[in-house]
Amino acid sequence: MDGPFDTDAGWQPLSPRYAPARALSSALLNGVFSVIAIAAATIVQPPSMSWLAWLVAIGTLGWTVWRGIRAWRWVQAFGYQRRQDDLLIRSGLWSRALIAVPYGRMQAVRVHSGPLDRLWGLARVTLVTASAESAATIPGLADSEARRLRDELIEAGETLALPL
Amino acid sequence: MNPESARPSAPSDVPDKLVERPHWLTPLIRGWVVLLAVAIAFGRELIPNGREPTRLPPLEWLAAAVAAAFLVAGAAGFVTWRFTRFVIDHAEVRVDTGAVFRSSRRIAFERIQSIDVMQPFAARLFGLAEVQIDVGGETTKLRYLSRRRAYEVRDYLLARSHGYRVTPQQTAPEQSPTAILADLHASDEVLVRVPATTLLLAAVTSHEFFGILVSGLGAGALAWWFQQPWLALGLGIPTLSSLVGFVGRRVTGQFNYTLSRRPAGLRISRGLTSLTSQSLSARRVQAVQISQSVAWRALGYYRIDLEVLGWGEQTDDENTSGISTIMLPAGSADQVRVALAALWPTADYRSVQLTPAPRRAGWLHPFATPFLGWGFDEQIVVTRHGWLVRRWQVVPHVRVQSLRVSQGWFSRRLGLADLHVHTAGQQLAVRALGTDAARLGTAWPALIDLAGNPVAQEAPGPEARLADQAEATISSTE
Repeated sequence: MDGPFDTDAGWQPLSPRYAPARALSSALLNGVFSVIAIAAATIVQPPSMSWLAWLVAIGTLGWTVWRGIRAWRWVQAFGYQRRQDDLLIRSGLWSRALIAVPYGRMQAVRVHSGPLDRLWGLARVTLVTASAESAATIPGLADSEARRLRDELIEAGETLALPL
Repeated sequence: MNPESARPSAPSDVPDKLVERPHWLTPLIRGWVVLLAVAIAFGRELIPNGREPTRLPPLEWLAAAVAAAFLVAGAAGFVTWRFTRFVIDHAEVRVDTGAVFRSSRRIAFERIQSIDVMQPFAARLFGLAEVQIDVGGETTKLRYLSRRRAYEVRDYLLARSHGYRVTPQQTAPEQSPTAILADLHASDEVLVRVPATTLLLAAVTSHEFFGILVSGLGAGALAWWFQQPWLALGLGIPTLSSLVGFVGRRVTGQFNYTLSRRPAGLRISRGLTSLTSQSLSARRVQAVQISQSVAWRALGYYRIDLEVLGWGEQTDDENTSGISTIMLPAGSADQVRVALAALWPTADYRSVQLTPAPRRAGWLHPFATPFLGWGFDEQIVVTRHGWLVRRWQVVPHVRVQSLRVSQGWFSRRLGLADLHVHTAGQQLAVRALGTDAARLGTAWPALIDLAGNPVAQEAPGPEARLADQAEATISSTE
């Protein structure tokens, strides 16, 4: 029933350390909006309309907390699979996505590590193809794992390269 | 022109250089905009407009000013013309310009992506044309040459960029009476030609036309509702003028549309006021979209849009460099078949078995569901979607960069999923909507496999020959 998402075998998980990193980063990002919303709610005029602003503020805050809680589930649901000719990435809880990138289409492999990622010793690996829509990113891998994956992907890409 | 026989000749046979200078009328045409502006500015002053006549300076001053403007423009034009030179030698095209600050632009033959011949209106009046050389998104213009010379230079460059070794003389056709309304040689095989009546009929029944009409009528009705008849009139006039403008642009831009095939490749030539001759390389086509609006269903018209690497944005008319992504402005199903067969000879989108979307997809796509579908064979992926405007999208597996299946919360409950096919272009988002998830799941492995190991589609063309040649050169130097 679940179609292509069914295949259970062989999915590699992300580093479990990524869950707190994701929770913190989404808390920071959404937190900014929450603070703005709360600040707006306190100064809204006339006061009779402020319930609407508070509703928005509570909604944003709730969303922030919810995302923080869901981070652990999200990281568990994420998986990638190195297959013979291609890389599969699955992600998402409510709306799910499955991306397949043939090694031959890879133009570059990027390893990126932001300040928050570095606190937990993590890095994200992005596969770049000629398409701007590919968006094949594996976040939250341990540093050594990310480098190993990068080297493996580059090697696979070199042997299988396809013309543009 | 027979490039095959020309190929074995040693490089030493080829004359070193072909030096071209712009046509002597060039400064006149490049400056015509300035002259026109001057004429309009002064002309407006001279026409009595009922108001209090503006105080004109003495006529002698006016004449002197106009003469000075002419002289300066003429001198500048002459200097530019005098110091501009197009040099084509054994490995590259060079454009030298500038009297004081000299600049020299070089284009290696191997990097030429396409060569188009354009005739803007002013140039066309004098029988001149410009040659546009496209190198990965950057365009160099050789302007202006006489029309015949422009086509010769274009043919020569095309042959050279495809790796044939020809001399400039060999490309010059014995008789080159290229018609005034098209860029055609006797050796060309005309594949599709669209008559002006079809263009006109297609334009006034296209969805863009109805879009403008409906938005104009809607705004007018709103104005009427608020009892502002003058506002309604004020809205009506721009709507009418944009309708006329749209139809006019479509008909003049695509006038005498001709898709033809010649040894060097496919070519599209079109245009009434300005003639465009656009070369089309099948290797650079990433995806194709065939569309049909409501009214076109009755008329049996289809339109083909292309996603071509380096052509930039998809356009309804044409972009600034005069390139249009429309492959076929309006044509019958047969013409669509012929055009696509010219592009991809071995793939036929109609023979692909399409899987329709299940009826429960109606929850998500209430109107489009009966038409939704997708399918693939060893060569191409075909998807079908749309409601008022029906679209077929075709992508060869060779051009698939990556694949994505997405499933929202609701479609997961319904057992549906969407498939997105990513290509190197960004204009046509190829997608199959509301497909049966289980079915997609069974087809998915084969689909990925085809994207990763596509069956070679094109017969080895000139480019492949060029690559062979390069390889031969490398191995001979080793």
